[in-house]
Amino acid sequence: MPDVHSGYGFAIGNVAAFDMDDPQAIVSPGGVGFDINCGVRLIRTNLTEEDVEPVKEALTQSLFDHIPVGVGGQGIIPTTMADLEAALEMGVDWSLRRADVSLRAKKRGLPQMGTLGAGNHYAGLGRLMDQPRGWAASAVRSARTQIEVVEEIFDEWVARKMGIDQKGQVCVMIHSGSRGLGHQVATDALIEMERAMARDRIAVNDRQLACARIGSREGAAYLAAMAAAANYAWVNRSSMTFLARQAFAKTFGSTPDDLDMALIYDVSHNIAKAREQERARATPFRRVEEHTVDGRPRRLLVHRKGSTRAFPPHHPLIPLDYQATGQPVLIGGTMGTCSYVLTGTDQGFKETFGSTCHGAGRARSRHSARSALDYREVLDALKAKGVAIRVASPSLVMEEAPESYKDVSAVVETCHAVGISKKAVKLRPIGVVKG
Amino acid sequence: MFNYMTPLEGVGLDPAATRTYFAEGHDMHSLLFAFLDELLFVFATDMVVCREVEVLELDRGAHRICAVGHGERFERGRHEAGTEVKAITYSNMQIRETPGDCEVFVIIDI
Repeated sequence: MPDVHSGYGFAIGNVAAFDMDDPQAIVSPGGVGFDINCGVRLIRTNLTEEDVEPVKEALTQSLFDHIPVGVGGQGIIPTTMADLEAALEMGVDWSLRRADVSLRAKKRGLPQMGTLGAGNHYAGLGRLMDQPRGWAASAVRSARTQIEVVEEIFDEWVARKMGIDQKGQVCVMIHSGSRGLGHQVATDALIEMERAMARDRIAVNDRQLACARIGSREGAAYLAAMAAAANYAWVNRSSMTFLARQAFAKTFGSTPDDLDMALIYDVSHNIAKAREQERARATPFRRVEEHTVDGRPRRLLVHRKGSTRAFPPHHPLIPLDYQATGQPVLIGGTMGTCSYVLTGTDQGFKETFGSTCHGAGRARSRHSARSALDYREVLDALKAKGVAIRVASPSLVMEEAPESYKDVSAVVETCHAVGISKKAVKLRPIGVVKG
Repeated sequence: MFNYMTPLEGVGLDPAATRTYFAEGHDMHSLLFAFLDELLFVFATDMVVCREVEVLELDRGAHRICAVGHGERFERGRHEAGTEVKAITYSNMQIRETPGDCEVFVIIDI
């Protein structure tokens, strides 16, 4: 992808597909990344920039207060291991009954477990949401919550399907992943696979590329744990949705429903897509991604690390609401730059296994950003652009400064020009909360 | 690694935060990886930041290590929040041993 930059194991901005009917095919935690199911969701409102402008600072502060951020940030109310297990299992309705997440990974996830969002679409969580004592508020370090304004609509019909009907309309973008739990799942899998590679006669030139045959014990265990970590990330994004809706409702003396704060879409850019086995013997996976390779249909395990699934119109795996438009793709910009909503295309399905870019991509390492940039200058530049900002730590300001990233518009243009995704909406941040 | 999470000059020595760390591997690289992962794991679950780490025992044959760490529990407000370390990596990991000295090179994912 045009936003490619170097990563551990696989580069970030990568798609790797393995033929699931080939017994030699592998699954690689390094092809997914440590932050399993890092992704973006977009929530619309019926507010306009004029409504938000007078209360922008207060609203940004309120988001910052509602969503704990930063190193060591913990939930307000303790979550029990049983709560966590229920969330890991029920994040989606059927696949994860046997998910084997190590105790180490669960322990890392426990202090960071999120509240459950109201109005989320993970039906299995409904029962838990009704519990009066509530859940721990999430501590979402890598999260960025942004108040965005619609800057440009490229495709009015597609935008309307998403509930976006005018320039200046305000949306909320949430960008986060599975945090410590996902990191530990990836680390544990790496250790296990690294050990198993000698047995399975797999040789790689970098230990960080440790992998296992898809059908091996290690491969299956990783896929199940990865799916549970993905659930955890979705529960966390749901939590933050709930908190963001509360922050808006309080600030505007209204209710989230009256503000039409509905979820437009949620998409991951660090995940391998396969479904857990339904019948263990004959068909190990169902509803896997099918793609045509050399004119033949194949069942593939598609790893996307720093790339986003972008399925075309009428694909059976995308929701009914978006059957006609193609799957929405959410591209989060950085603190001061634009974000985009794209849609998937037939061209992308043919050429990139139905994938497109995920964001701007780093141009400067975090370390180099720290030494080269001054955070006051970065903050002043953002203020001059009219962006209200709250951060947990000044060093993050430099790391996440627009100067540290490639130009997101150029990345999106490239994907649009080659036809692997299509531009629908451009958004501009007016408030940023960064952990 | 800990200095990246919070500047170590702000970390005191609290006997209540003293922990013993065990790790094992199947060669020196995997031992180093496992040891650092253990330190990270204890930080992520117990919030203990180590300012000093003392190796009590290093078994090169069995690839086992035992160390004791001294430091303090991380508290928001009292300690400056730095960058969260996601994971230890094997990427370009190097261990250079010379008589009486050892240098290790580990890239951590932040």
